[in-house]
Amino acid sequence: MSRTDYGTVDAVLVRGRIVSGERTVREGVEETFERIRAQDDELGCFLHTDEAGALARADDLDRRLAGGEAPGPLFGVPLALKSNMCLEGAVTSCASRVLAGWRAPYTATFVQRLIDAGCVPVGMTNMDEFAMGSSGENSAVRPTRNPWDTARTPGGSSSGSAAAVAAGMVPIALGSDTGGSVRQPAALVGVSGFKPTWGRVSRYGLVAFASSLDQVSPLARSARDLELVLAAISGEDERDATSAPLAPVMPWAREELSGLRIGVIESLPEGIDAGVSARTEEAVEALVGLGAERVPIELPESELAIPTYYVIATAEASSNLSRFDGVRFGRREDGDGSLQGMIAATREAGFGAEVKRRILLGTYALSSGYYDAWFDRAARVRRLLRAGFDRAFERVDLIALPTSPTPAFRLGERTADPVAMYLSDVLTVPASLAGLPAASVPAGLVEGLPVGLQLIGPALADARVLGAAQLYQRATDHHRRLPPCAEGAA
Amino acid sequence: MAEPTRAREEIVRETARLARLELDDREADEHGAQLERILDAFRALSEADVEGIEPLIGPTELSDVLREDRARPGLEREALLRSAPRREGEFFRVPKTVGGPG
Repeated sequence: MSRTDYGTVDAVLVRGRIVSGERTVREGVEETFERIRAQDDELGCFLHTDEAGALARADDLDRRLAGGEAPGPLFGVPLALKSNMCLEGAVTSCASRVLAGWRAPYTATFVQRLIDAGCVPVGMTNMDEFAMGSSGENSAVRPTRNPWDTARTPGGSSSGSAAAVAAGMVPIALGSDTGGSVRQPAALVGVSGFKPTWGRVSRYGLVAFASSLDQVSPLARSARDLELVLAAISGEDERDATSAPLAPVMPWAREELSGLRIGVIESLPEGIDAGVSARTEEAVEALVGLGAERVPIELPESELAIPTYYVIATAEASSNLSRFDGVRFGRREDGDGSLQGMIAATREAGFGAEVKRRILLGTYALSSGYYDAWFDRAARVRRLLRAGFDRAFERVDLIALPTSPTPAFRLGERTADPVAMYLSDVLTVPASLAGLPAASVPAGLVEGLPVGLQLIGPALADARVLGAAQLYQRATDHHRRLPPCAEGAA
Repeated sequence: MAEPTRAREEIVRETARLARLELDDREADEHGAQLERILDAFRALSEADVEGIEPLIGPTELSDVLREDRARPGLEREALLRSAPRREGEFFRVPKTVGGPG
């Protein structure tokens, strides 16, 4: 395997080459930083990197392996973390001015589990501020660019994590998916991403945006790698009371899909690009070719999914972001010198426009006189939407649909109209509201830009979703396509 | 359900006050217009029939997850104070809360 291939192969192979003695951990980390240096000025995937720390850790892992220690399942694999994830001593800014320069005083459970599995964290990635956005353009620092076309967005909010994997900088990255923030960028940059069943992965150490929707979600080239990362990070954690006491995710034992019923939605929302529909249809045909049975289904009231999601998510966010008040961490502005003045001035200076917009919307939806009409109503519709999925899963085992209505859009194209940006999530928010496991895997190109196939399973069927995705990836090779910048970059 | 009707600006300013956001006039105006646009786009939600449907708060039925009532170390005080904007000894320092300007 040539040096230039290294960043674009699976984590499984990265580990394998280290364990067999072909490469050292250090060599792999050095290559990661070479790729970052070569590409990141243009792409903007990372907000902070720690080369010295990563190399020190690499040397330590190399020593331990030489000393006979049994290597963990992700031994020596370079890892990128979204900037809303706590790694002790690293800058966890959430791409916001209000947390600029803030260093986490502890390490998130899910990060520690990956470190225990042998990962080497290399840096913190760019994102939409506080995970609010679908393009990366709400970063307070600068937008990440799509490696396939740098005039376009990579999607968001896990923009940097997705683009870093797509560009071959790292084999795996973590993002967070609240309404599609890992699945949608995965689709737009041509990598694989997975949102687990809500409660599968502890959120301790993930800066909260919307607590009933947030999930730590891995990104990688292949669904096989996603499964490895999920196995490492999932499981009950007593520091997150919402992490469920679930049995570990065992790999799906099937080698083909005969008898598997794939639900295909008859009436998808308007505005889906014709090329996206064509690639999705081809993907469903590929699944049928593996033995699956296509079953037409309907998901009623799906036109309510976007309003329901944005009312609930912003309401929860308005509560979660109230902690940024200049008192305990992050930035402080003195304002008029009073306590209330300090709090208001800090938040005014520290939050970007989209974050303020969502805090206002969420506060309004929860405020006296409007709570019944907005938040309470949205919570009831949420139950309706989940019931729609429950009914569908009586007749099918998985649902297949596009991840994003369009391929990657241009920077600046949707920033003038918040609603236009919100509609980017129309196909991803339903699974978030219902807490269901959902993956996006590359399904080909439309005019040279990647598109993704989304697979949704019933609650707890994470293994089935990832298993079907892996079989799809054995029958196709879309996930092996590289953007021009990653081919032969040295 | 009829919503109380008030000037849009008043609603935005009151909401901003609740959210401890200090908007200038231009921001209040822009956010007011955008909120109106967003709520209008979300009209279908306000018209949905939810008769007899209970709210769903969070996607699982987990509740009252408890652990043994045994003291154990929390996060280190020094680690937490290190990232404070202003501290005094073992405390976070803030403007006067009682008897101050308010």
